Amino acid sequence: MVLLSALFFILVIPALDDLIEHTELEVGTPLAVGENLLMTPAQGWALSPDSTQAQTILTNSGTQIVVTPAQPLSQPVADQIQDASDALANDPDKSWVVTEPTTFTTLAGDPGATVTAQSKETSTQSWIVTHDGSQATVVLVAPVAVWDAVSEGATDIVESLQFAQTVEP
Amino acid sequence: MSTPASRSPRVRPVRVSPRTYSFIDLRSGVFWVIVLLATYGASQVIPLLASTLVKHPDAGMLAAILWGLYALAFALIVYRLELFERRSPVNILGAVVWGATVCGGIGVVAAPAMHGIVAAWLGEQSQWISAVSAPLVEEPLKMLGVIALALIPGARIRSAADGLFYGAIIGLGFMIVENYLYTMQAATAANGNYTTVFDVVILRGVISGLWSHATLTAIAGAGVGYFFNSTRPRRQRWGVMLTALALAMVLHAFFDSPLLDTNVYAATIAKGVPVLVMLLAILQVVHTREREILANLARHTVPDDLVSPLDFALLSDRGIRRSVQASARKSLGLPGALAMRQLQHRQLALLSAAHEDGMDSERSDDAVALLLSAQATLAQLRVEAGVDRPDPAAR
Repeated sequence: MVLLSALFFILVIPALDDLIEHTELEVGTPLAVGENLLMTPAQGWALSPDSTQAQTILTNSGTQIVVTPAQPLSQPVADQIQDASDALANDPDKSWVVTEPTTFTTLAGDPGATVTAQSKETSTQSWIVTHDGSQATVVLVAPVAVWDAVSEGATDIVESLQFAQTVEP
Repeated sequence: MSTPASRSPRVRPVRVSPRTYSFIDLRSGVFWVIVLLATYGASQVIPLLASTLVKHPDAGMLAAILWGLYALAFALIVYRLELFERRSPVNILGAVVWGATVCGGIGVVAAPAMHGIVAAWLGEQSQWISAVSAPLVEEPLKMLGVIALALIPGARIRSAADGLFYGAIIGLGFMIVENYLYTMQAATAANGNYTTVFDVVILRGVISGLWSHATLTAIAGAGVGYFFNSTRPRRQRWGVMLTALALAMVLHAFFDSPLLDTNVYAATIAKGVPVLVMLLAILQVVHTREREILANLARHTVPDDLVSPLDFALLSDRGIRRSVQASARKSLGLPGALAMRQLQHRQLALLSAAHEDGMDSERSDDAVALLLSAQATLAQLRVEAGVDRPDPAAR
């Protein structure tokens, strides 16, 4: 009885999740975000029907990635990511533990900055990527319990971002 | 006319006499299932733990030390909740291992899948995904650990209080591994920053930790202890066990829900207080039941010259035991207080042995021998202090 109960969680629950039709995106095939940004989905991510022209939303196990199409760069990335960090730190509804912003580079060689935060039940990460005077933002929101399962794929998606052309201001 | 007894016959659960001193029973199939599941769980959890330590060894060690100290403090509180009995350290270790490896490891596989199922059901945008999916996986897995122990006679889960105690320890084991991994998630994102480690420990250990997994599994565990030991009809025992599990799940869901999330501190207190009150109420009930069981043993099973009903009245509460020791100190000095303390411990040990293994067991025989020795020591001190005359029969 103990073994069968444990096997239910090890085998049956994941099998049930697999049975549910998530309309997963094809791994490796670039997906257009707006008119001038491409991203490459990672394993397990599905396109949300809530996606609009203004934002593309991917989902995976109760997790969301919101990708905003390329826009003209409004202010330096360091300032923007610091603003995002401050907004989380000053959120009165949740006690976020906010990490220091760090920088990174996409596979296409575009620079970016990111900040991560964790509350009691939720983890979030914001990225800003820039390219020739334009920028794209990506926000991941995940239950802490599934963060380990999705964060690597989310990072892969962000690193795959490619700007098609420079956005005119 | 049917009697109350015929309407709801009380059936004493079949008790298998323990053949080992702890849950480690090589002839028990359930023991080997625990070993198998712990091995599987470890194979899922250890790589996660190791990878964080390799990436940021200093932050990993700091997190391990902080959560280790936290576990120790919490375990001491749980240990103090034991009214009469000191449970086997081997069983306690087994409960920690179940929480840390079996629940932690299976959770790594089942939690994302359950989140996916619940997200498909409630919608990906729902704020309730974690609140619904986490209790559905974690609470049954933790309770399963108490059931596994209860199925091994050597673990001696002989009352609701035992179930509550081991439930709390399993919850603690799970909580520590989960919180360590969450701490290192944040620390990894912060490039191993120490401040982040301290911040997450405060968030998860202080702000949200006090009413967390240990408390919830203690509630479910009390139901398991009741199920395996009550003499009530089977339907009632099932009802109590499943209600306890449902209660733990509902409280967990409430705690993780977006309800009252206007201010994290106020929300944590508003959500945590009902959980704490519920635990204290259940603790009161199981302690009362435990006291009744031991009082019955003192009255009917254990000879009066070893533990009489009056003796048990003086053992039934920590405060009374301490005042009896203080009284012995007054008349016999420090050695008298220590001898009285030892006598009390040995009387309780005999009652526990009689309850768990039976009065005719080897364990009870050993407890009787130790109790007689403690009685002799105290009697000798009384004679030396002139409180009692020497017993002629003892010459």
